Amino acid sequence: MSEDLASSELPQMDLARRWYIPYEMELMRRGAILVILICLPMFWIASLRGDGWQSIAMGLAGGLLAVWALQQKNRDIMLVSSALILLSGLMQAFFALEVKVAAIDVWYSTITVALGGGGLWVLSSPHMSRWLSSRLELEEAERGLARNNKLSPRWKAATTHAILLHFVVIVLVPVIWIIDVAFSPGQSASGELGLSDWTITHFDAVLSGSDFWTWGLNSVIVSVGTTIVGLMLAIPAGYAFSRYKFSGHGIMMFSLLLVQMFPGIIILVPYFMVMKTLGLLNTSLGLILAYSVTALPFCVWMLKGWFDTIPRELEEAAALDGCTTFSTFWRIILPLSLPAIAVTALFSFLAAWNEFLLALVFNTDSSMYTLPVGLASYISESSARWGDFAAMSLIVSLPVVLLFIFFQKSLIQGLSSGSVKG
Amino acid sequence: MSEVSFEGIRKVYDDGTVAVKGLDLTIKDGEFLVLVGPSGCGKSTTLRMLAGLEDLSEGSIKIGGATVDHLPARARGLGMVFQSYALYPHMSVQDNLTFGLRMLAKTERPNPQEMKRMVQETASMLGIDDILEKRPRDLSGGQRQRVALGRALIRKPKVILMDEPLSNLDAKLRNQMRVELRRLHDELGFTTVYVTHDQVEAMTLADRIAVMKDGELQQHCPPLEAYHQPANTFVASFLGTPAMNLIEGQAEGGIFTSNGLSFSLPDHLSDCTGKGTFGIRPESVKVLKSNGMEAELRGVERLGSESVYHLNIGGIDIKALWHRPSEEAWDAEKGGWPEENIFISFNDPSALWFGA
Amino acid sequence: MAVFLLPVVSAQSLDVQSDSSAAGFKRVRVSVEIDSFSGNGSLEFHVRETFHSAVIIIQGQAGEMSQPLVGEWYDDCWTSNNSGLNWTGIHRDENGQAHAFYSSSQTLSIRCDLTGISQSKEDNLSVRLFDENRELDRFDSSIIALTADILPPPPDSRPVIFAIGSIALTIIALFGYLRWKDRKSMNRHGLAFVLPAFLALVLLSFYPVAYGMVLSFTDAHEESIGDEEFNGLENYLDVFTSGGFFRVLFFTLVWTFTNVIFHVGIGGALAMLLQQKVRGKLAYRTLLLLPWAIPSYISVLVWKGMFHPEGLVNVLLGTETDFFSGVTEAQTMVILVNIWLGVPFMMMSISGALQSIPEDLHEAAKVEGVSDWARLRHITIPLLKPTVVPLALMGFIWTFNMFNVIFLLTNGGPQLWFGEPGGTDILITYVYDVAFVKGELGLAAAWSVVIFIMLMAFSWAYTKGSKATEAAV
Repeated sequence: MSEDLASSELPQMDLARRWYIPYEMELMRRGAILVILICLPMFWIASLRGDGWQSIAMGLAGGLLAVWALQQKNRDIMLVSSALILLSGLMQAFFALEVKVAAIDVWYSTITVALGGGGLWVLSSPHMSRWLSSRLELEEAERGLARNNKLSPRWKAATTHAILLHFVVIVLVPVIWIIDVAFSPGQSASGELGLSDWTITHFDAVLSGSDFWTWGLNSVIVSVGTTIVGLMLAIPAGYAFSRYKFSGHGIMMFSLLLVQMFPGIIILVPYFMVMKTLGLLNTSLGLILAYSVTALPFCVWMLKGWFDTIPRELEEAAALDGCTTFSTFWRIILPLSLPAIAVTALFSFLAAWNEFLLALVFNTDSSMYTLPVGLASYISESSARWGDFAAMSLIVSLPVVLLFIFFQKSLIQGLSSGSVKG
Repeated sequence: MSEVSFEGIRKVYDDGTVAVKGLDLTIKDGEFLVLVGPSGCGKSTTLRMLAGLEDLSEGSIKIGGATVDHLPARARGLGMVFQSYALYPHMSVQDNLTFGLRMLAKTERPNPQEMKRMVQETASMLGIDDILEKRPRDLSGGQRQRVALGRALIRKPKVILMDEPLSNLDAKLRNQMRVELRRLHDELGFTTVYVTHDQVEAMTLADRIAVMKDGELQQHCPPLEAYHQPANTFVASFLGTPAMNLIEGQAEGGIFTSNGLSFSLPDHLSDCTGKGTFGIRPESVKVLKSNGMEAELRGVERLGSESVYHLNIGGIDIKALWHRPSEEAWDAEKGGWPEENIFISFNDPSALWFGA
Repeated sequence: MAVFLLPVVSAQSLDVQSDSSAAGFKRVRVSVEIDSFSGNGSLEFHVRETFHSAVIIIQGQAGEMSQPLVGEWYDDCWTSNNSGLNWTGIHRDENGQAHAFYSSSQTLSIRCDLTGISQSKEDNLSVRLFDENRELDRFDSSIIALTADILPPPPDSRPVIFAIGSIALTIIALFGYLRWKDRKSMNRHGLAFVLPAFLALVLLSFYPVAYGMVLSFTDAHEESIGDEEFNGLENYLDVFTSGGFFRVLFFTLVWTFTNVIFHVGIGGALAMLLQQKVRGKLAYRTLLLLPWAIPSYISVLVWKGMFHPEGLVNVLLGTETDFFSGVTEAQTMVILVNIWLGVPFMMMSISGALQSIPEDLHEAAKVEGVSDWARLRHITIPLLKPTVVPLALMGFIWTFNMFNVIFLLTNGGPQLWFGEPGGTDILITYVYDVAFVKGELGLAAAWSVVIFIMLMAFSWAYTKGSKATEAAV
C-alpha cells in the first residue's frame, strides 16, 4: 500500500514503521521466558509433593506458546498463551488453597497472574493490534518510538530490579532464618519464623561457656600465626620475584602456580602422617605450618603484583643516596606497601580463620578445635544444638562479613590477577 | 537524499547540565561538515545524537528528509569512525569489515561472493588489502584507522560520522590521512559530519564548518569565511595560528582607545563608535622600519618561513607575523634586526571590529 | 581399707583387699582370702551393682582343665594355698569359666585382676561367697583403677626428620649454586629473599606430595604408623576394583559440571544485569556477595538446618520431603547449596571482565545495525571468553575438591551401600572416610594420587582444547 506514495515519502514511512517495535513486545518476551524458567523448578516441587503438576504444565505450555507467537506476531495465539498463563496461576492458587498454602504457591500465582493478565491487557490495546497487523500510521510509529525511548528504560530497570530482588531474597533467607534461630528459645531447627519469643539465652550460653573462648583463642592463634609466617615468607619473595631476574626465577614462579593447583586432598594424608610422626597433631603449630603453605602462592602473587607497580626509580634514587638493598627495602618499599600488605594479611587471616578440612583432621581433641570445627561439632547426628550454634555463628560471621564487604574490591582484584594469569 | 538537518536540538543530562542549547543546522547532501570547538562545547554530543547513541531532550533530526529522532542507532544506516577506532579485537580485519553485513537478516544479506567483492573493493581503496587476515592488535595506528574507515564505508552509507578520528595519530600520519579522507569523500560523495577540536583540520577538510562553544553554534559557513569574517571574538580567536590580536577598548570619532594605547582606526572601521573589540590578525599587522606606532619588542620566534614578533604596545601584548618574501626583509633579519623597538601599523583592510 | 564381717551362720570369714595400681589400665587387683571353706561353691564379683565375673570353687583335683597364661582371658586370676606366698594361675574350662581347686583344711586365696573398672570415679565392689545353695558371706567396698593407659610408642620421627633435613640442605645448596651462577649480576640478591619461601614450599608442599605418592604404594594404617610395608600396586588395584568406584566418580563429575555450568551461567546473568543502569547497584552487589563472605561451613550448616524435614525449605515449598534419605533428593540438595555458595564469586569476576570491554565497541556495533542479541553473541561473549575459560577451570578444580559442603550436609549419605561410597559422596569425601574413618592411609594415598592425576589430565586437556578453539576463531 505504500507503493503509490510519492517517492520522497518512502524513506520516511519505511524507517519509523520498519523499525518501530513497541517496547511491550520485549517485555512480553522477557515475561514468557521468565514463565518458562519458573515452571521448571515448580515441576520439581510438584513431583516432591506428588501432585499439582497440571497447573504448572499449563503455565509451561503458555510460556512456550508465547515465545513462538511473539516470533510469528500472531495476536490470537499470543492472547491464548497469556490466558493460559493467567489460568495456570489461578489454578495453582485454588490448588494451594485446598491443600496448603505455601510461600512458593503465592509466589508462582502472583507472577503468573501478573504476567498473564499483563499480557492480555497489553494485547488489548488498539495501538498494539494495529502494530501487529502492520496497520500503523507513520505519526503513530514516530510517537511510539519516542515513547519507547522514554518508557522502555524504566520498564527494563523494573524487571532488572525484580530479578535481582529474587536473588537477594534467596541469599537472605538463610541469614534471616539463622538470626531467628539464634534469638528463639530451644535448640531445634524449626521452620517457623517468629519474632514473638525473642531471647538472648543462646548468646549468654555461648559467651559464658568455655567452648567459644577456647576455640576462638585457637582460631586466633592459628590465623595470626599463619598471617605472620605467610607474610614473612611472602613479602621478601614477592619483592624478589618482582625486582630480580635470578637464575631459576621462572621455574620457581611456575612451582608456586603448580602448588596453588594441588587439590587439598593430595597433601592431606601425607601431611597427617608427617604431623603425627613429628607430634604436631592437636597443636596450633601444625596448623600454622600447613596453612602458611597453602596461602603462600596467593600472597606472593598479590605482593609481586603490587611491587611491580612501584617504579624502580625510587630504588635507584635511594641507591644513589647510599642505601643498601636491604635498607632500601626496609625504609622505602615496605612503608609504601602497607596497604597491599594489609590486604594480603587480611586474606591470609580469613583463609585460615575459615578453613575446615585440615583443622578437622589435625586437631581432634575438642580443646584444640578451631572455631569452624567446634561450631560444626554442635550439629551432629545425635544431638544438634541449633540455638547455640546459631548464636555462635552470628558472632563468628559478623566481623568476617564486614571485613569482606569493606575490602571486596581489593580481594577480588588480587584473586583474579593472581590466578587468571596462569 | 543524504541531507542532514538539526532543528532545535537540545540535550539536557539528568543532573541538569545542558550540553547542547538549541542547535539549528542543515548539512547539504554530499557536504563535508566539520563540527569544531574546544572540549566540552557539545560537538561530540551532537554527533552522538545524530548517530542515535544519545537521546534528544528536545528537537528533531532528519536524515534525507526522514525524521530519525527516536530511531535506534541500528536503524539509521549510518557509518561511524570512533576516536579509538573501536575495532573488534577478536576478529580479523576482514571480519571486522564484514561484521555489519553478516549480521543482516538472511533476506538482506549479500551472498559470499558479493561480500568478498565488497571487501576487495573497500580494502583496495583504503590500501588495506594486504592485512585482511590480521588482528587489530597486530596493526599500526594508521592501519587501524583505515580499517575503521573501511568498516564505516563498506555498507555504502549515505552519511558518515567521524569523531576525532585523527587525534590518535602522529603528526606526519595525520597530515597524510587528512588528504586521503578528503579524497575519499570527493570520490565517493557521501555526506560527512566530522568532529574535531583541531582548527587546522577544520580549515583544511571542511566544505563548511560549524563552530560551537558551550553548547551553542557560533558560526556556520565555509572555513575561509569564518576566518576572514568571524561572527564573534570567540570564532576570531579560535581559528588561525597565531591567534588574532584582540584589543578591547573604546572607539570615538575614528580613534580607538584602550588603556595606554590609542590609534586611528582603519578607514573601513572609522564609523564604529562605542565600546568594542578591535581585532587584527598577526599577519595583517604591518611591520615597518620607521614611521608607525612604536612597540617594544619582547621576543622573536624565527621559524624560517616566517617570524613571529612578540610585541608590547601601550601595555598590551601584540603578536605580529612577518613572512619573508623580500630580499630586503631577509637581509634585515640576518643583520639581527629588529633590536629593541619596532614600528607597526594596524591600518589593514582585514581589521575587524566587534561591537560590545 | 577396713574389713567388715557380716555375721553369717557358719562363721566363714572373707578377707578382701584391693590394689588399684598393680593390675594395669582400668584394672583393679582384688585379693580374697577365704577361711574354713568346705565343699563346692563360688565366689562372685559384682561391680557397679551388676554381676562382673565368678570363680567356681571345687574341692578336689584340677584334672585336665587348663591354666591359661596371663592375658589369655579377660580377667587374670590366681589361687594360693598359703595365704598369698605363692600364686598359681587359675584353671579355666573351655568356656573360660574360672575354677579354683583346693583340698580341705587349706585357706583358699583367690586373686583376680578385674577389668573395666572406672578410672575417674569409684565403683562399688561386692564380693560374695556362695556354697552350693546360698550366700555365705559378702564384702562390700569401693574400688577405683589408677593405672594410666600405656600409649603405643610415638612413631619414630627420625626418618621424617632426616628427610626434611636432607631436603632443606639440598635446597640451600641449590640456592648456593644459583647464587654462584649469578655472582656477576645484581640478580643474585633476589635469591636470598626467595629462599625462605621456596624452602617452605618444598618442605611443606612438594615433600608431602612426594611422600604421599610413596605412601600410596604401602599398606600404611592409622593404627600402625611407622610399620608400613610396600605392597606394590595393591592399593591401586583396590581403588579401581572397589565397588562404587564408578558410582562415586560419576557423581563427582555430575556434581562438578552441574555446579560450574550454573555458577558461570547464573553468575554471568547477574553480572550482566548489574551492568545496566539500575539504582542501588552497590547495595545489590554487596548483598549478593554475602554467600561468599559468610564462612562456608556456617552457610552449609545453616542450609542443613533449613533442609530438615520440618525445616524452612519444606515450609516454604509446601512439601514434606526428607532431603537426607533419598539419593536424588540429597544430591539435588547438595548441588543447590553449592550453587548458592559459588555464584557470587563468578558474578564478581565476570562483572570485572564485562566492565573491561570498552563501551565504544558496543556503540560501534549498534551503529553497524547489529541487534542486541547478536551483539551479545558476537561481541560480548567472545570478549568474555579469555576471562571465563580459565575461571571455569578454576571453578572446576575447586568444586571437584569441595569438601565442606558434602561433609557437613550429608557426610556422603545416604549410606545405602555397605563399605562403599554413599549417595552423595564425591571422591574427596570418600577419601576422607577411607583415610580417617577407616584408617587405611595407604589406600587413601592411592586414591589421592588417582584423583590428582585425573585433575591434571583434565586441566591439560581443557587448556589444550580451549587454546585450540581460540586459535580457530
